[in-house]
Amino acid sequence: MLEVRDLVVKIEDREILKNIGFSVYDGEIVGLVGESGSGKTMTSLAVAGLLSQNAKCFGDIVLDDIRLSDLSIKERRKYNGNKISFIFQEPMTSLNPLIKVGKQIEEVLKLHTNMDKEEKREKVLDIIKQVELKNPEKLYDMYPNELSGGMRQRVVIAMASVLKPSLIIADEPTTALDADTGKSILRLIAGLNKSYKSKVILISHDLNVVREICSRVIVMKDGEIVEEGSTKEIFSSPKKEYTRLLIEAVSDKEKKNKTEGGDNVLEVSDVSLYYKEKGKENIIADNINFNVKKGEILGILGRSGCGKSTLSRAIAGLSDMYHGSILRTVSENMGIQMVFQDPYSSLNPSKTIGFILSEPLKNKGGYTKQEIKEKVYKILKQVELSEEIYDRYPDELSGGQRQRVSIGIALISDPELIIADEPVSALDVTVQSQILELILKLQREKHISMIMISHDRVVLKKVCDRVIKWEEITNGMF
Amino acid sequence: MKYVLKRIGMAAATLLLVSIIVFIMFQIVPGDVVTAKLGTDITQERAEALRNEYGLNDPLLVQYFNWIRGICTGNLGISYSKDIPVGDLLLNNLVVTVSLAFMSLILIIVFAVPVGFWSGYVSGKNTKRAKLFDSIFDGVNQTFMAVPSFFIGILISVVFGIVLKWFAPGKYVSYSENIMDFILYLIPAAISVAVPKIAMLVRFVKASVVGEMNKDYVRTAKSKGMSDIAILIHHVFKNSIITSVTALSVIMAEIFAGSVVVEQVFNLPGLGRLLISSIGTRDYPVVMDIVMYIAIMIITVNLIVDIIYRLTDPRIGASYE
Repeated sequence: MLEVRDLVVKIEDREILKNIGFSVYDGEIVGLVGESGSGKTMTSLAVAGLLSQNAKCFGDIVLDDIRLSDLSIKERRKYNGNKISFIFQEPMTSLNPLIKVGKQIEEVLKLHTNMDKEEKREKVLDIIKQVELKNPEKLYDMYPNELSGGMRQRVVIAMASVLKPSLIIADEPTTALDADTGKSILRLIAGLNKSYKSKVILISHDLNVVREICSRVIVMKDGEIVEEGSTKEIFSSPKKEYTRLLIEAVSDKEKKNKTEGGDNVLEVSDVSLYYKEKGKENIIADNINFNVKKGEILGILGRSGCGKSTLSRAIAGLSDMYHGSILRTVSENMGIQMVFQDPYSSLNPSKTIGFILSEPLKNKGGYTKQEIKEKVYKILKQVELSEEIYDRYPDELSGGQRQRVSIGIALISDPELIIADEPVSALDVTVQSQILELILKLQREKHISMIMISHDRVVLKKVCDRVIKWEEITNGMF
Repeated sequence: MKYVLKRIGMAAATLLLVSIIVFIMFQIVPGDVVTAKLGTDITQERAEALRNEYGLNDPLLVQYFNWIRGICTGNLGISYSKDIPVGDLLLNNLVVTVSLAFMSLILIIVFAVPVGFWSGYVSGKNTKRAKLFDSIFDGVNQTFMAVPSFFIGILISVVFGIVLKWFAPGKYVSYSENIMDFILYLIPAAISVAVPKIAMLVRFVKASVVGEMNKDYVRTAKSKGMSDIAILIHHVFKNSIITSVTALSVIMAEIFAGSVVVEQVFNLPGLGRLLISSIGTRDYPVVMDIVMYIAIMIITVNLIVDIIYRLTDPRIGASYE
């Protein structure tokens, strides 16, 4: 078994982890949940001995009677790959782009076994088959960029499981993938766990992911363990408020008091989206038909890459790569505004929030300086930000605050329709529910019409008056 | 393959454009070769005869095509000031400049790549000691980067030539006389050209190594149980070389384009010196050909770098097709 006792991690005299203690038994899958910054990844890196060199680690880590915490970094490295292995969050970047995937899996064998060339190749092909990838021979010689995210994650899993390690740590293995791919990856991890009897620590911010395959759950917050128990206990009777919040965020709750909506503000009929490559038009989605009524929030549910973002750009008038008719019954100027997914990169880092918020009004024209300032302060209040934010820069704000600013930008020019493209998917679950609350409040107070695009059914159900699936409104090409 | 052909086509088109611009520019620059050569005190007929001889009375288009045809066939025209074929004039000086460039290039790669890797590896560790090392190393490196080549040339001449008497400053041995001496006497000049460029490339390589060391795939390699040194060799090396090649291509273009001032310092009969003296005597055929040589070198280096890029990085190929 794995036993962790009194684990403390310090970076530059700041305590990142405080007295962490838990154990994992053979054949068990334990979920480690918490929001970003809760210390769950730090804990796993400490267990695997992969902390960066400026981090100091105290306490006991014992795996199968080996006292890992007594060993030097160099000595511990020997156990990585064959006793402890890691599955990372970002399958797009966790493989070396310049080395064939077969070779990258083979590296593990090269480092830890004395197999000859043929044996190694055999073993690699075998594990590729076991992680349910087709055509192992062909895959062996492919480069990471030729594979999809899900396939790359399988390659990473192959690497992590080829030597049947005693402990596998999976850090948000499905977060970067769409829902279906994520589910199949979870099944794969659970399957490998069953057949190899290895211990698995599954790290996630998403309790639904944990619920799926874990028998036990450890909840972390601010570098401490908040609560620990069997999955059943945690979900049926959480003892701590924080745990309850986490569960609430992922629970399937439908919006109460749905708005009927008035006349159509947007009619999309027979639209087909395309992108141009070398002058040729490639259709992404065909035959799109739907409308948005005044005052309602319409949810469009679709998986990543299906073309929903392209559609939103076309509706907002940011792209003319479509055929068919998009009828907007809104005023031409500033009638439609967008809220983007990533609050980190969509705000100009060199301008103050006040400046960023006033820009749409300046572009629209017809306001005096004083009016603009008043309006900006009013908007800050509406999106529940304090006035002092006016002089701050985006870097000084948290993710939730930034997304509030993005919503403010969209609101300030009094649009008739707002398109929000995955507005909360980059945020932590507790912040997520605050932003969703804000959107609901704005709908009640300002009667805005909104299209909310997301891959997350749970999120859409909470705020939308009507949810349509991408497959329902298109010709089934995605 | 298709890409290579396309890229060569693009390079050729660029060269053509450059040649047109160069030609037009030398039509615009003030100064008359006849006056420069014969003075103002001549008869109208003599001047006219000379103009005819040089083809200066032909229509511009004809002059341009004659020039281009000359470049393609190796007939580079006649030098106004020396009355000998430009080709002969260039050849000697070209050998000096190209040899100097290659020697500098070898020095740059041999020194900058290992030093860049070592320093990147050390500072990539992100510890307190690494940070201290970093600031000292960067300070020293920046000093070398800031010192101009000709100053290093003068320094080398004074210290190793005049004080230590390891070589005779200003001496030049033609390659046709003694090839070994020719190379030996180029070394001080090559070092002067190389030092600032080494510092520049070290900086690039170091930055890209530090960048790569923090990438996710390095963490993956660690989780496989690979030692830091092995990760550096097997994973980081190729990735950071690819990003450093861009920097190297700029540097290469610069040194091939001639180290005009350094040639002056060491009294080397290279293209730089020829360029300066030819501008003085308004020897436009020579100047135009040298400018074209510089353009050809820069474009060719970029072409080669792009093709190497394409061959080594599987990502570029995939996004292109």
